[in-house]
Amino acid sequence: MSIERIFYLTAQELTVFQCDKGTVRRLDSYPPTVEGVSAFDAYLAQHPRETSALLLDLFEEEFRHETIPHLLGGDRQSVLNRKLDNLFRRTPYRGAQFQGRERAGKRHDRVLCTAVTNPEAVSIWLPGLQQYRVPFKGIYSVPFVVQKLLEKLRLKQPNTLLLSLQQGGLLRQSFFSDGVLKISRLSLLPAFTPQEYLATVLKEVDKNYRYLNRIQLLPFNQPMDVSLLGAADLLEVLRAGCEDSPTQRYHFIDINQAADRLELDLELNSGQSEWLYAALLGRHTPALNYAPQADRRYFIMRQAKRQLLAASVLLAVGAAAWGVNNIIQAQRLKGQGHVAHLETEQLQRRYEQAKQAMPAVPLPPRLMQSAVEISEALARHQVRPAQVLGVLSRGLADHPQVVIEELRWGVTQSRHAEIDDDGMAMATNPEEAEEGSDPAGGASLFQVASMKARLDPFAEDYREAFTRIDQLMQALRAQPEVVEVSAVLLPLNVDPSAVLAGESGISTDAPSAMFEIKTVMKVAADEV
Amino acid sequence: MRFEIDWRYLRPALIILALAALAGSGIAYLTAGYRAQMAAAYQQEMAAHEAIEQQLELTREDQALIERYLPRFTRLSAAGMLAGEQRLDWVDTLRAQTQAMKLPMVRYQINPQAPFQAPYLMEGGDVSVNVSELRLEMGLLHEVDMVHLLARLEQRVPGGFHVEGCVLQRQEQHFGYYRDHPNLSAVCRLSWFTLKAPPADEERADGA
Repeated sequence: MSIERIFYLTAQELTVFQCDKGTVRRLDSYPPTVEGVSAFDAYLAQHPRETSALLLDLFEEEFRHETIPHLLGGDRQSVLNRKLDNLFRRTPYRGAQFQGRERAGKRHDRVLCTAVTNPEAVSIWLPGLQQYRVPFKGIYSVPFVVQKLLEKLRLKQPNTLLLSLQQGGLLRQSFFSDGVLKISRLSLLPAFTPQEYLATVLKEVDKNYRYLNRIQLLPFNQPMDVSLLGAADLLEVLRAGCEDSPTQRYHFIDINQAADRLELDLELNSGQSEWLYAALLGRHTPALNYAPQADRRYFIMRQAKRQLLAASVLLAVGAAAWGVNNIIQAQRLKGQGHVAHLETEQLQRRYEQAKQAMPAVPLPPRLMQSAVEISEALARHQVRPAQVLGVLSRGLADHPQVVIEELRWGVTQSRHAEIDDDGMAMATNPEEAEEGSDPAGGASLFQVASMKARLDPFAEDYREAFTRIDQLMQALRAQPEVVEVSAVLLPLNVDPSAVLAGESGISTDAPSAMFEIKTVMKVAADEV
Repeated sequence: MRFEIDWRYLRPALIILALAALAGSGIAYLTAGYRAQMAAAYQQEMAAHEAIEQQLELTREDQALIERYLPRFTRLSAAGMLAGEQRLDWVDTLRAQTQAMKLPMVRYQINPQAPFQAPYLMEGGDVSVNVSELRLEMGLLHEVDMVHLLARLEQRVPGGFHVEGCVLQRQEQHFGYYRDHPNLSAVCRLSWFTLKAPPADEERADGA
């Protein structure tokens, strides 16, 4: 937040400068008396709102070079606070500027500790600021503003002594090493002419040179660059009188040219450097601020107030945006809902039409489907005895001498099953029931027919009987439905491991050639 | 001097913040509620849409099933597969055929009906299959009589018949036309299948 108003404070008076868009206006001055302070307070009562700062140009300002151990963060601040407390116990207006580290040894931090040693000169002006809630940014010192000036003008000689004149004959002399403030002094000149000022400058420069050498702020045998700030007429005189030497080199800074370079709309005389400093402070505040936090209360709270207002605006805008988004989304959903409703109505009509168009059926369609599929599956597994009778008839067609005594037929999953007296197929080995399983999970079916028959006529020619039976079996095997034909019983058991008994003779009854054949047919694939 | 917050100084900003928070909360609450309401209404419409879509799809499927299965079901129904076991029909038909075919003797035994299951029948349907085991003992003049009798029983009695097995035995050395005794005896085992659908009040019978 830029500073809108500068209170320039010297030993003689407090002057109010108003800063606005690169220009500075001098408003009024107030002496450091009871009346002056009251008048200042009355002014503040009338104009409390502008962000303000105090710019000190006092004699009673002390500069001390100290070192502290190299620390960081809170530890460093604690050490600094203790150091300042020790050095400047009686004034609250104090501060420190970090200026690098020692090059050798423990490499401690180098700090410039400064303070206003006459705090009452400052404190008399502050109660009004609190009373009228003036947003007070801080207390700044002219030497540090001059340091800012050098930085902005890019004057970076290694050792610079800058002299400037302020109102009331105040001569500010500030010494900088590589652009960093080392020491500053204020003195009061009585009314003077340019020639008298020239003489003062030469004397002060020489005095400063020897002093700075003595306190070792200026390295031995190093030249000192002297920058003189003033208006053109004064600079002309100074140029004529100041001669460079091996130890001193002079530079002349036109105050108005400097203002132009800094884009400040000012027209100044030599003794108005405070205008330049006020304008510069209005834009660029130095880091070192003498004001304790309590004095800056209303500046801090004003910032907080602005943040609260910004938060309020963000909150309101955010809520409004969210609200608008909710409404947009709601309207979108409403529209989609309406479309869905219309589609639902249309589908409802189509559904009613489809329902009316459906024929009346005795069962729900899915039950009809189940019933049909079940009955068709049952039908596919139906086997009729006509087939086996047909096969046997064809096989027996050329064997009229075969007389069938018994035929057992059954449907089974095992080709090795036997048929009991009720026509039930009995698997001889329970595991054979799986024999016919197919990869599709169903079981193949077989028709097993056991035919007990005899040969009639039979002339006890067993060899002939065997031939006939064998021919019958061949005839049965020749049929495509037949999978297997086996002889279960033959007229004679000629197996060498079995007992063979019989009778022969003219007085005996004619023997019979009984045999039994087992025929296995697989039920056709399209039947299952 | 200690830093003390001047609450009176901050009060207007705090009030504005509170009002903004309140207004923002109110706006957020009301608009979120409105949006939720519209979302719920939309979900409701979509649910109704989905439901009627499903119903229409089911109706179309039922229509396709009717076109595909009704003719066969009609034949099935006419064949009596769903009429339940008509044992009286069976007895009447057997008696009539026995007399028509002049069979010397026919004895029968029908066992109690029981549920039937087989690997080749689909699982989990609402239509159940029942089976009764039949034992038919016949005195025949010729083995073809058995084939004819079974065929006529299958035609005239409602249900499905599977012949599981038969045993035929010669009774006479020489076949002839004997009034009092048969040439062949035959014992057959049959399975008599009928289907049962759930009662009408468990399913809608209009095809939907």
